[in-house]
Amino acid sequence: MEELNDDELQDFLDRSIGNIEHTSGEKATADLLAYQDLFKALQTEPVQGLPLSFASNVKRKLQEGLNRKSDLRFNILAAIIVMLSLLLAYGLLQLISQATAALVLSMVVKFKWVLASVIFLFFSFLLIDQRLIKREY
Amino acid sequence: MFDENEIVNRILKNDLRAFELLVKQYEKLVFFVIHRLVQDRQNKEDICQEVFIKIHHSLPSFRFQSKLSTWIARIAYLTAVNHIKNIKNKSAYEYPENIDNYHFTDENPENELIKKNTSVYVNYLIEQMPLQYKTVLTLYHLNEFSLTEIKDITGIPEGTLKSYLFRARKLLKEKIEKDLKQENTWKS
Repeated sequence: MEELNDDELQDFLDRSIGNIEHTSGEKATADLLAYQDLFKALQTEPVQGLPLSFASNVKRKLQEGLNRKSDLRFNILAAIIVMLSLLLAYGLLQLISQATAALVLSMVVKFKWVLASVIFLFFSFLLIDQRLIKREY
Repeated sequence: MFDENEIVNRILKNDLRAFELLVKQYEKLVFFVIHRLVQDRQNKEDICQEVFIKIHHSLPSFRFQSKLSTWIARIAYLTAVNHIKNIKNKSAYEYPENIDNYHFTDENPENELIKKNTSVYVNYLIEQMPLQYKTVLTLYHLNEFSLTEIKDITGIPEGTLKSYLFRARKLLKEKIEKDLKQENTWKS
């Protein structure tokens, strides 16, 4: 009346069910039959599953994520282009009229906190917008 | 036919249609892992989505050193483990430290109702088992991975996996046998 060891059980699993009659011992045969039922139950797929639209839902979610990223990239690029354009305009102004350029520079220095706040608000708005959209999905 | 290499290459070229095909191919695999390992019934679909988003982000680092299914199962397994850790932190219940001493708890009225259907009852019993047993039973029997593949997925040595598998099946078999005996005694 020996109990099956792991290797015997594994061997049974590999050989499948057909050879039960070749197993010696009443207890071993009963064990094998019990394991046979258990294996069948273990291989049974869960009744509930994912919805049929699961793959397209994942695709949509991914597309939204990619769109968000590209929007963010576009906005940052636009901000950089605007800043570079302003710098270029100042450079050209220096070539055309140094007095006007100096006046513009003094205005920029005078209102530096206002300009810094505008830039800060712009990036804060982008960040909050991204977070809100992300939370929605 | 599903060609792993071609699909992965198409996804890396930002083809979302190819990614949808990959999701369709492996959604069952991911769902089986999440369904069995994570108790949180409501969020299973969200966790499966999270797994596939992670797969999409990590695909550039996939080097075809293992089968794609093994790699995907590893991501699903690690995601499930993270969720379980989060849930564990929120709840007081914990599995025993030494799982070799694990045994099923005594009867409760709920058991009696689901015992009628063996596979439903087996799933119910698996839900109560420690994570290691659940993992190896699911990956071996439901997802049909070999022990070597399960070692790659979980990082648990093959010998340990073999012993977990043996002990988990033995516990289930004994529990079902005991319950059947009890039921027959009641009937007679």
